[in-house]
Amino acid sequence: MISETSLPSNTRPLSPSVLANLKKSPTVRDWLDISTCGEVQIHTGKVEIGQGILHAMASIASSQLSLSPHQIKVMAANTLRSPDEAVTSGSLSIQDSGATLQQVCAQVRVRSINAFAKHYAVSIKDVVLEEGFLQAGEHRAPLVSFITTSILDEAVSLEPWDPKQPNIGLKQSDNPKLEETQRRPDLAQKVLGEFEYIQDILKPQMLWGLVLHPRTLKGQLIKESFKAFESFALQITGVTQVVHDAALVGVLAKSEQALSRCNAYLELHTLWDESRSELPSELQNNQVLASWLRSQPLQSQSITPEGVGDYSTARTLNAPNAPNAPNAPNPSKAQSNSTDGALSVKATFTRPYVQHASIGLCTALGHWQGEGEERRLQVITHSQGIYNLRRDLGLAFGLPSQNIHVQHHPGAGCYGHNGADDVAYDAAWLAQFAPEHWVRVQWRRSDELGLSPMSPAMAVEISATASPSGQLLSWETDIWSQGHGTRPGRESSPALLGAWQVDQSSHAAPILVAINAPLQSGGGAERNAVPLYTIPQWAVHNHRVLSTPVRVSALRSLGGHVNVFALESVMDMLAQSLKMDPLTFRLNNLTDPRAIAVLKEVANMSQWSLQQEKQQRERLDSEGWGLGFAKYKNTGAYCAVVAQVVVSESVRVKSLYICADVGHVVHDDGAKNQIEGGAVQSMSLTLLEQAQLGPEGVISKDWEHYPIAKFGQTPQISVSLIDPQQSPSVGAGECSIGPTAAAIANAVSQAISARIYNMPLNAENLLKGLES
Amino acid sequence: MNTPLNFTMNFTLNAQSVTLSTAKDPDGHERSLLDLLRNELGLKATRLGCAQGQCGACTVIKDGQAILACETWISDLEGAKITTLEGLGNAHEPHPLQTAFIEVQAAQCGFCTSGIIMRSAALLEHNAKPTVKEIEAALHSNLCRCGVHERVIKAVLLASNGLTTTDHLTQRGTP
Repeated sequence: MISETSLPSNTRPLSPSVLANLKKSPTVRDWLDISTCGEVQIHTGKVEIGQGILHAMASIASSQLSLSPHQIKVMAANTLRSPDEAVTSGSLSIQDSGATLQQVCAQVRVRSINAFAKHYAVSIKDVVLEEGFLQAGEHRAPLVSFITTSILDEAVSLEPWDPKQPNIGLKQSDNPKLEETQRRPDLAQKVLGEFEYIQDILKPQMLWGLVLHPRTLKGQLIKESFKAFESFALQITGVTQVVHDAALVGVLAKSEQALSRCNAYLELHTLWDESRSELPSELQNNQVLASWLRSQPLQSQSITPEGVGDYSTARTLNAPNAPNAPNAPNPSKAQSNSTDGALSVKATFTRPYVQHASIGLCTALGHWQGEGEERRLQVITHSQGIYNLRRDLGLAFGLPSQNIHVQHHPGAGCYGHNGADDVAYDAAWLAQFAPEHWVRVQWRRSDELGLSPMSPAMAVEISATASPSGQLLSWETDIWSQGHGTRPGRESSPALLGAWQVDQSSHAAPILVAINAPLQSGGGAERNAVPLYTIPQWAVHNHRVLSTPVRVSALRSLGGHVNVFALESVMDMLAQSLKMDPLTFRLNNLTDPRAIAVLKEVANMSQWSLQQEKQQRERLDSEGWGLGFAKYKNTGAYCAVVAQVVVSESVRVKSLYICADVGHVVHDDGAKNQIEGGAVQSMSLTLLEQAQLGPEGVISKDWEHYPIAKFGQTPQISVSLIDPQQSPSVGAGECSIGPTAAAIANAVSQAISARIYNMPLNAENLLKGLES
Repeated sequence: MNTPLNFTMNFTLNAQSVTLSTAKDPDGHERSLLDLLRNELGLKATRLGCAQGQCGACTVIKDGQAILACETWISDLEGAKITTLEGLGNAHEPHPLQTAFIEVQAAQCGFCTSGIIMRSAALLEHNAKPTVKEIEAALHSNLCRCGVHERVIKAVLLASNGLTTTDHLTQRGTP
C-alpha cells in the first residue's frame, strides 16, 4: 500500500473514467460519509470478490486522510447507496474507483484543514494532519469533527487537487505502520472463522430453494419425469412446493436437508430431454477444435496501426489460408523458413474451453413484497455488477429499476463472469412462489461447473518475420473464438440463464451471443493480441465465432491467456531461428522503458543469463527455463515471468520469478498476493484444464473430471514490484496470467526441444507434440 | 427407519458436550455432520464446497484425524471428539496456525482456508515439524482456486514448532 518513502500526489489530470464516475456520483457524500458514531465510511461501486479490494480502498483513503485503514469502513455495495461503477472486472478497480476515491479524500482533507484553520484562526500552512488529528500549535481536534455537512455535500472537484501542494497537511513520515496496513482485516476474520460469506446468511422464516436447469441451452422438460420428481419431493418432510415454468424447475423447503434428499434423487434421474442440444461432437476432440472454430459463421474485424477497421481491406500481409477453407492447415504445424534473409515463423495455437471452478457455490437470496406498482424485489448477491444485475432483473421480471434493491455480499473467489448473476435470477424467480419470504438458492457443484459460462475455446494463428539482425519486420495474427462477454447490463434482453429457460409466452429471453468489449476497454478475444514490440507492419484479425454451442463469458484475462501464450511462443521461435537469446531478442524490439525494466529485473531475479548458459553447456534434457512478457490489455500492468520447469511424463513447474510494474503500489502485499495467485491459476489453466463436453452438456461437472492445480503441483514463486511513484496505479489481478502461460510454454519447449502448440500442456498433448 | 423415542447420542464438539435426541431427519434419513454444524449449531466456518468429498472445504478434526464433514453421518459420531475452526482458536487465543496464516496473509477469498487450517492442524498433531513435502502430501486433497498454495506452505512451516520463514527458504530454496 502506502510506500515507505512518499505519498501519491494528486497532480495528474483526472482520467476519463474518474470524470465519468464524478458525473454519475458528483458529491463527496456519494463516496465518503461520516456515520452517526463518527466513523469514516467509504462508498464504492466495486465489490470484494476475494481480491482484497475493500482493504485497498481503505488504504487509499487512509493515505489521504492520515487514518489507519482500520479506522475506515468500506461499505458493501448496494443499489440504494453506492455509486454505479458497473462491473468489478478487468483490473480496473484501483485505477477507476481508487483514483476517484483519492480525489474525493484529498478534497475532504484540504477542506477540513481550511475549516480547522479558520476555526482556530491559524495559518493553513501550520496545520498538520497526523493519525486522524488536525493540529496547529496547541490546537488539536479529530479530523472527522471538521468533516462537516457542507464539506460532504460539496461537489467533487474535476481538477486535480492543488498541484503545487499535492499533499497539504500530510507529513511524509506519518504513514500508518506498514505491517498493520499490509494485513487485510477480512483475512483475519476468515482465518478465525468469523467472516460471514453470502452462503452463511440466514433470514427469519427463510425458505431453502433449489432451482434446476437443463444441462444444455436447448433442454426441454419431460412432463412425466417432472411429475415423478414432484411426487417424490413432496413426500419429503420440509418440502413445501415443487414448481416449474417451461424448462426451469424449483423446489422450496424448510431445510437444506430436504433439498439434499431431492439432490440424491436428481443424481439418478434427469428431468430434461437434451436431444435438441447443439453441442457438436468436434468439441469433444481438442485436436479438431481449431478447424471447427474456423468453420463456423464468423464476424471478422481487423486491428492495424491505423486502428480498428474492416477485415477484408486490412489483410495486407502474408495471408494465411482463408478462415473458411475446408482444408485448414494442421493447427499444430509450424513453419519456419528463410527467404531474402528474413526469418519467418507461422504457427497455430489452441486452448480448449476452460471453467471458473471456484471452491464456493454460487448463492443468492431473493425476496418479493407488495402488489402492482408497489411490487418490490430485494436480492442479495455476490455479482460483480449490482447495477447491471438490477437492470437485467428488471427486464426479466418487468419491473422498474427503482422497485429492485440489489445488495452485494461477498462469496467465494470470483475469477470472472461466473454463475453469480444467474443464481440471483434463480432466487428471484423462485421467491415469486413464496411472497414475503426470503428464499435462498445455492447452486450445486454440478451446476457451478456445468452451468456457469465458460471461457471460450480459442485458436490463434500467427505469421511473423524478423531480419537476420533480430529486428521484427512483420506480424499478422488471426484469432478464432466466441466473444468473451455475456454479462448482464448490456443487451435489450436479460443475460441471465434462467430467463432463457422460462415460458416463451411470459418473459423468456433469447439466448445471447457473446460479444467482445471494444479494444479501447481491453477487447475480449483479441485482448493482448497486438504485440507491444516495435514492428513496422502488423495486423490482428479477430474472427468472432457466432454460434453458441456452449455459453461463454469473461474469465480472468479473457483472450489474454491464449494470445500472450501464442505471441510469446512465436517470439521464442523467432529467437531460436535467429540463434539469439530470447531476452536479448525481446529487448531489441522494445522501446517502452517500463517494459524493458520488468524484463531486466526478472532476468536478474532468475539469473537468466547464467541459467541459459548452463542450459547451453549442460543441455539438461528434462529441465527448461522460459520467459514470458505482456503489458496487460496493452494499457495496464507490465509483467514479466521466468518459469523453470522439469518435464517427465508431465510438466512440473518448479519456480516462477515474476516482476511487475502496476504503477504506484497501493497495497504491496495485496498486489503480490494477486500476482502470485494469478500465476498459479494460469499454471493450472495452461497445464491441466480443459472442459469436457458431451451431447448432454458439460461432463466435467465435478472435481474428478475437472482437476485444478493441487498442493504438490504448485511452484515456488518470487514476486518483485517496481514502484514508479508517479505513475498511476493500475490493477494487479490479471497481469500475470498471460506471461506465466507463455513462460511455461517456452520453458517446456527448451526442456523437450519441441514446441507444444495446444493447451493444456498435459501428457497427451506433450506426446503429440513430440511425435510431430 | 424410525428412531426410538428414548434414543440419545452424545459427542464432544469444540470441547463442549453435545446431546442429540436423534441423528436423523424427520423421515429417518441420515444427516451429515456438515448440515448439523452449519444449519443447526450455527458453526459456519466449516464450508460446503461440493458435498461430494472432493474439495476439502468442509474438513474438520474427529478424534485427531482430519475428516470431511460433508460425508460424515451424525450417527457415526457417538462418543467422538470433533473440532472445527471455531474450536481451534479465536481472536483472543488463536491457534499458532491462525496466527501464522494471518502473518503470512495465506488466503485470498478464504473459502478453502478453514478446511486447509483444520487439515494442517491434524497434521501438526501427529507431526510437529513436517517437511514441505509432508505438508503438500497432507493438503493434496484440499483445493484452492485463488492460488495461495505457496503462502499456505509457508504459514504451516511458520506455525510448526515456531519455525521462521527463513526455514521455509532453506527448505524451498530461493526463487
